[in-house]
Amino acid sequence: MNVALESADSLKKRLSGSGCYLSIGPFVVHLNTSIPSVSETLGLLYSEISSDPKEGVADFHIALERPSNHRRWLHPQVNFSLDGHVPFKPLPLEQAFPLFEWGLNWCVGSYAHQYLIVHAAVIEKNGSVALFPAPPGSGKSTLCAGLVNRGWRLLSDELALISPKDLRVTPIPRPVSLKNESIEVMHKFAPDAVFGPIVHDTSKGTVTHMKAPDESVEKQHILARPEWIIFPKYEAAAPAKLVQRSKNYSFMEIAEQSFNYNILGLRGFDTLQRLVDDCSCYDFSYGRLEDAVEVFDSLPVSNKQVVSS
Amino acid sequence: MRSTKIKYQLASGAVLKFVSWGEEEAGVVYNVSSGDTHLVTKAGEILLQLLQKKPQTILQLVDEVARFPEVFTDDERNIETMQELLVGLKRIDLIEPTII
Repeated sequence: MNVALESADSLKKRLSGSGCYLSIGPFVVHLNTSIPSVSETLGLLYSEISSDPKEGVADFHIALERPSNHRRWLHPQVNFSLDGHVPFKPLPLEQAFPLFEWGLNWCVGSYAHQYLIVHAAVIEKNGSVALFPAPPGSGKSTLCAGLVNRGWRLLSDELALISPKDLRVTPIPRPVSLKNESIEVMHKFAPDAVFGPIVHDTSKGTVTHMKAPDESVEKQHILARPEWIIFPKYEAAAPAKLVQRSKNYSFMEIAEQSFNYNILGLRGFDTLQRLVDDCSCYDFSYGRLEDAVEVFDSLPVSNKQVVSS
Repeated sequence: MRSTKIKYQLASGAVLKFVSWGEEEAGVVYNVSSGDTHLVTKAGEILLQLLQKKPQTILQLVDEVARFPEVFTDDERNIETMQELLVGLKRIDLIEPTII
């Protein structure tokens, strides 16, 4: 059953009772929470995902709960826990849903070492896949959000899950994280997109999340192999410009943006070498999403792509 | 006074893998033993490959790099340049001096 087919009350009850088993990309997440804002935002932004995989079997058992101390009444907070362990300091209660997203990123980055995991957005169109590795603040998520609202499929906004075996990316199409100015930019660019509540004063500033396009979630079982590695950079009022980039420097930058390159050792090096070998590398600067869409729609396409389940 | 008995070799246990694309001035070196990855100049890469074969003195390296005139110009084939490169490679723990 998809989350969308369940009433808000039923979802809330299940989450606060035995919890829900959510199929998010290749992972099953068991989520337990009695915080209303989490169940409401989950119902809004994860409505297309399945919520009843085989009970009891999960990759991550996550709970979001209010700590039981005096702050419960004065400055309510939320704790994130994985298998009963609390890896982070509590955050203000208003940040409960963003904490779920950030915490889930941490879970995948810390444990899913069957993949080379790179901090990158991944999108696909007509079988061709672009990978955007970039540090926070580069405009990666804004570009990704813009393109997936203009016909590109979202494979991931934050975590590229790359198979060391065949370099295919396993999709994990979750809500796209937007920060500060990009929130208004996206509201204007994609007024029909679904956005979660805006949360102020987080460590990243003001944040919100945009729901992944339904079609991307429906196709989350379709893996795809990257063809372009593109390093985006937002520059106010700059014209869109795509420039070929050094593969050697690209290798180093992707290794830097990987969560587990060092953990994988030689396997990580070999995987990254083959990936860079296989892809064209570019720097891309842009100031307007409309211009970016035009450039991406005219990227040179090769026929070597493998797109399959 | 510089000792002619000092040779340079790859750091103990170091196993290096090299990868580079095109005619770029830098290449990637991966140390399998430490798990560290470095971006090194073509000149640094050549020295590492020479030292991977056998330990060598600075003077021997100056002679050896004459085979790579496209990377080491006449002006660069001298002890000072070589020493500077070796210090850089030693700083990132890829090589070490050894007394023969």
